[in-house]
Order: sequence, then C-alpha cells, then structure tokens
Amino acid sequence: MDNLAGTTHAVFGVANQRSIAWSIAQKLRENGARIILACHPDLASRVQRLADATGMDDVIPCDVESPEQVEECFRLLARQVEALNGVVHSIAFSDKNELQGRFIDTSAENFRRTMHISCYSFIEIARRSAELMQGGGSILTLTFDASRPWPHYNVMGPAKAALETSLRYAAADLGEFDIRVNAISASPEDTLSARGIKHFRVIGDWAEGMSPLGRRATLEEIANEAVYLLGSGSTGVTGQIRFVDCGSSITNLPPVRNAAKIHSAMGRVLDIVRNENEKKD
Amino acid sequence: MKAHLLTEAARRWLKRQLVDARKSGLSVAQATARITEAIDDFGMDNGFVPVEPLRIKPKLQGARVVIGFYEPMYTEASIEVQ
Repeated sequence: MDNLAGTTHAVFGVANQRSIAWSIAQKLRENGARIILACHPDLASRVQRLADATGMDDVIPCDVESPEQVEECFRLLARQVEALNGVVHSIAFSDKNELQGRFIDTSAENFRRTMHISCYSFIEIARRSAELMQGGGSILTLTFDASRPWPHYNVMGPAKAALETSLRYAAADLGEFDIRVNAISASPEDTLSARGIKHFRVIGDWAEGMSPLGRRATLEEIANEAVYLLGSGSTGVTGQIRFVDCGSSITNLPPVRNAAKIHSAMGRVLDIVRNENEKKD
Repeated sequence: MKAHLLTEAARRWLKRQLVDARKSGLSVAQATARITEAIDDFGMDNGFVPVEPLRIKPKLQGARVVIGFYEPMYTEASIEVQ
C-alpha cells in the first residue's frame, strides 16, 4: 500500500462504524496519514469515540446544510493543519419517504435538499479544501451508478449524476493547482444511508447477481481504492470515476453461475409486488 | 414511521426475541449471535443499523442495543428490555 506518513487528510461523512467514510479513514490511518474527521454535529460524540479508539484527531462538527457551520469547520481545520493533502467527501441524504414509490413524485423541497446535501456540499468542500492544499492534493467523493434508474433510489440518482458532473468540472478548475478530483462508484453497500432506501435488499442481491465476481465489493476494497486515489500512486488520475463494484456495472445479463442469486432477487421483487397489490385490494 | 414509534416497535420486537431465546434454552452466546443477526435483518427493512453491539445479561435476564436511524437524520435510540 501507499506510504501516507506525513500527510493530512480530512474525511467528511462518518456516521458510524459501518460508514464507507469510516473504512477509508481507518485505511488512510493504517497507511500513516493524519486524519481529521468532520461529521454532522448530532453524531460528533459517537464519531469522536471512534476517533479516540484509533488515534485520530478531534472531530469537527459540520452540518453541510448550514453555510455558517461549513465556514466554521474550515476555520477550525485551517487552525489545526499546516496543509491538507487529501479530502474525502462521503455525504448524501434524501427524505426516506421519497426513497420509495415513483421518482416522478419527487417534491421540489426534497429535490433541493437532496441536491444541497449530496452534491452542493461536495462543491463547497472541494473549493474550501483547495484553499488549504499547498503544492497539490487529492479530493475524493463517493457515488453510486447514476447511469440508470434503480428502484426507490429515486432523486438520489440525479443527485449522484450531478455529483459526477461536478467532480469533472472541479477537476478542470483545480488541475492548475495540481489538485486532483476523483470519485469511487461503489457496490450498493449495507450502510445506514442504504437502509433509508425501501427494499434495499433487492438492490444488493441484484448487484451481486450481475457481478462477474458474484458478490459486492467489501468496505476494505473500497478503502484500498481510496488510498490509491488519495496517494502518490495516482498522480496522473483526475476527473475519473473508478468503479469498485465487482464488475456489476459492466454486465447486461447476469453470469449464468449467479442464476440462483438473480432468482432470489426476483423472488423478493415478486413478494413485494404481491404485498403491495394485497394492500391496494 | 416516526423514530419514537419505531423505537417502541423495536423494543417490543427485542422483547419477543429474548423471550423466544429463553424458551429455546439458548446460552447467552447463542442468543447474542442469533438476535444480532435478526436485528441486522430487522433494521434492513426498517431503516436503522445497530451502532453498538447487542449486550445480553446472564441467564437472558435482559438485553440492550443502541440503534441509529436513517431518519430522523442521525437519531439514535438505546433499546433496553428485561
């Protein structure tokens, strides 16, 4: 792995020990980096306990919906570090009531809020982070297959599409400062965020069934890719979306050996349809 | 479902799991393993994850787990039953 000794990375978006951001933070730390975590204020005490157990710095509370809190977060960050080498943005949210049913019923208010938290926060964090990066750096965000609709993912799909385009624009703007901007498009991971999506289990089963490897990526595999993108091994890579999904995004039909998994996923879908029809009756 | 309703539903659910484990004559270790798996499954369909491990008292006299909800955003609840 990369030697990140002497580097400092800020990781935004740890919620608990199952978060992708937490796996990345741990892996960066294992590779010698100094880590500063920023998280929603309501989670600060829990995340601080995680940080304390692994020798990370004090957690900075930051609600990305509040411009004042983002400003204060970066003021504190600037006080704590001489320079930032890397930043991880792993933040997304949408109203649970709209992560079910039809996308077309998305409300304007939830559209705005989802975009702000899941996409605009990246732009703001990238801009402010760049000011703290001296002599280059690397910014990483997390996305999920925005190329096609997933059941119940709804407005998160357009939010991720906007995020993916934003990272390319940010990469174009920040290249002159030797700052790279990339994303990881991961398998549907069983995190707290995923559990807001109705029938997430079906999405997970389906992704496994479509994967040439017959499974979803582990959090450790995602974290390994993050270390690569944040480290010295990827200095020629910017504006890219790197898939860590065990190949499920490349197949049109499931590999034959995964037939049982797809069969199981379809069985779940049929159960859901049956239950919903019964409720209607 | 609102968090307080879900918390109450989770409490009743955990109580049932504990009673079933007692009836089945499970050890603390066996009950912990079985209920931990079941909590994860229950949370998958109800928008929460356990954020602290399940603790079961000796002789299955009680159980406690802390869960984190997707919504309301980042709310946590300690579920405790006797």
